[in-house]
Amino acid sequence: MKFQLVGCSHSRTSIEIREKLAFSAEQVQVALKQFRESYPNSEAVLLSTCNRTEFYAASESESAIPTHQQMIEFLARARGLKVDEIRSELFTESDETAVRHLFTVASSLDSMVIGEAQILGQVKQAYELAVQDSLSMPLSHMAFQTALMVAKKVASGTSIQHKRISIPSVAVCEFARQIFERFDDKKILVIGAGEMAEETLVYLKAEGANRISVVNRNMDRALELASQFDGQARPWKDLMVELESADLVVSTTGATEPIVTSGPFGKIKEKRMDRTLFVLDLAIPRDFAAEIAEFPNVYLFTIDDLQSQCEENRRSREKEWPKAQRIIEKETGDFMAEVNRRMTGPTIKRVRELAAEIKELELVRLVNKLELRDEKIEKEISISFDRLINKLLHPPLESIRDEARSGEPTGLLNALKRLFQITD
Amino acid sequence: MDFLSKITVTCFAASYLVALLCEISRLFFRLPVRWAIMFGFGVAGLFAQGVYIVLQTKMKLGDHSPLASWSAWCLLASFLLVASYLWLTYRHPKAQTGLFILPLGLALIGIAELMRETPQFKESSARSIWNSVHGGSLLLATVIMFLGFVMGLMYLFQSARLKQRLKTATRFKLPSLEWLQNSTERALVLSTVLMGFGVISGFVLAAIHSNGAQKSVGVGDPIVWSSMVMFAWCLGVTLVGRAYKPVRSGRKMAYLAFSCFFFLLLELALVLSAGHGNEQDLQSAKRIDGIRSAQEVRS
Repeated sequence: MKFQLVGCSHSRTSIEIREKLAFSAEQVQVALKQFRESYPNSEAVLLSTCNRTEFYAASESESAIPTHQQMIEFLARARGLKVDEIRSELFTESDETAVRHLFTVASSLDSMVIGEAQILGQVKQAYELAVQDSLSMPLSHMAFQTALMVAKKVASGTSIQHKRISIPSVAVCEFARQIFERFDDKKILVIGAGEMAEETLVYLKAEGANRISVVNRNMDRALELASQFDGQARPWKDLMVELESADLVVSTTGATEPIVTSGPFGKIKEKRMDRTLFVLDLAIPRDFAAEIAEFPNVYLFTIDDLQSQCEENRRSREKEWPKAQRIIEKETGDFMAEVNRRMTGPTIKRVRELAAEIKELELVRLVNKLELRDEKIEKEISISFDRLINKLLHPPLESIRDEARSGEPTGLLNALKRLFQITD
Repeated sequence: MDFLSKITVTCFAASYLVALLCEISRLFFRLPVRWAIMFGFGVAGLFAQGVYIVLQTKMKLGDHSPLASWSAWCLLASFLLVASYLWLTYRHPKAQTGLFILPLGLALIGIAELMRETPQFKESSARSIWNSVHGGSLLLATVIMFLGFVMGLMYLFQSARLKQRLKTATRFKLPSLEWLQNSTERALVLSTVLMGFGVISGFVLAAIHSNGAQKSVGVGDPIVWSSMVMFAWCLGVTLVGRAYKPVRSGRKMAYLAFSCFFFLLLELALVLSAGHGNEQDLQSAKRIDGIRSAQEVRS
């Protein structure tokens, strides 16, 4: 049994090449169809995300599986690229290292953001796409199902996914939750309609926020963002009016000077009735003057405050790395032992069939010669033959199993085939 | 069930101490089974304390009110505080509320031990309905005010941490500011209502006693008028808070809870030092009444 891997990822390949090698779901299906036509006795799975493109191939027979070079050529052809253009950017792995890599990727240890859960879904999706048009993919099924199981083990056995490391998630899930118990009755004011505001709103919406106002200089963009989150767009001139009733502010404008200073804010303080205000100033330069943090019941967090928390969480995740790797190492070993054990299966089965055929012939001959009519005696002789066969075959078959546990049992398997004249 | 009679104050105080040590250790390192150990010790201590209170009550008053003395009163208050702690720990497993509540519970047990030798409440008083209402409502008001104080304290801690933008990765976790503020406010309102019941039932008791032979506790009693001042303060704070929103926003709510709590502490100190309601106190009140009556006759 053979596993081959050719791929590129964010850690070794430039974004330009990654973009060229990226496949859409439809392109994956077309490519896999072409692959099956070229290599009918091989299985293939193509994993393509924004951070990686990995092409896995597996086959029961070493002769049926494409070489790394053939896989690179196939990838280049599928994306309309020259082999020389991508060869140096791609990495290759075989058998145990390929399996270990798959487990590492699925467990999110090779992700740009270690511990991010998205990759598990992408691995699952890649496998599902591969089996969609293929009747049988036993090796890929075994490898990918185990990879999903290993990823779950890593997630539950370590705290690698526990701490959030993106700024919006830390802002909402770690800080806002320390201030507010619930979000459905809070007024969320978004100042600016950038990408960061959008990402933060995703988390706030997940927490139950439903009173959202977007204030932006460009009203069209404000309307677009507000409609995306069932909120309301407000003109820029209403900023301070909106601020009077806000509980949580997400500010992400590109203004070069603070847009809210202590003077105007002090004027609305009384109208706010000293209500708690949580300000997430995610803009650089800052949108809220630093003095605003001095007002009672105002909690002002800048991007630097959140960034340092993210860094700390990232370090905390990295501490879990060795533990996660130990899980992957053990699971890879177990998987390869199982693959090797399965490799011995057909040969062992053939040897047993051969022995059973000989036994049957000899039993018939003996029964006829001795003119045995007693079924009980016949049965006893049959059992005796079986015991003889088992005792004779047990040591060599056990040796093969032992060899399979420690690695690929090709030596003894070939010897057995030659000794018993078994052909594939 | 003989072993239950061997439960001593040390048993449950030690259980609470272990739970407190577990809470403190949460600040320094992670341990997977610690929460269960901590909660288990809390529950075990609470069970032991409950059994102890029941047995002590039976021993001293038959099957009636557990408020047989100031010592029992303090024990019952600590029992309710620890029960509240366990409920809070169950609701907010990550929050270290025990760091604030358990020391108060242990302090009440300590006071109960110090007051062990003080005279008991008069048996007939302890069994009367109005005395039970009076003692019970003031007991609940005290426990809830203690909780309000703890919530306010936690609010200030949490607020200071967020103001300084301390990292959330620190092991010290507390409930959200909103929850703490609402809980402090509710505790203050509920405690004031219960205090009102306590004061009114106190007046009823005074009236009952003045009609009978035992004129005991009157309006001139410093405990009575200080209780009224405390109640008036709590009521004022609650009413102003309800009427004017900024008063109950943020840290102000915590400060108001503190002021009520310190009033309560003063009141408790006065009550406990005077042995309010116990037999000695009633006898001395009777003596004073006797002297006053004699003076009135002479004049």
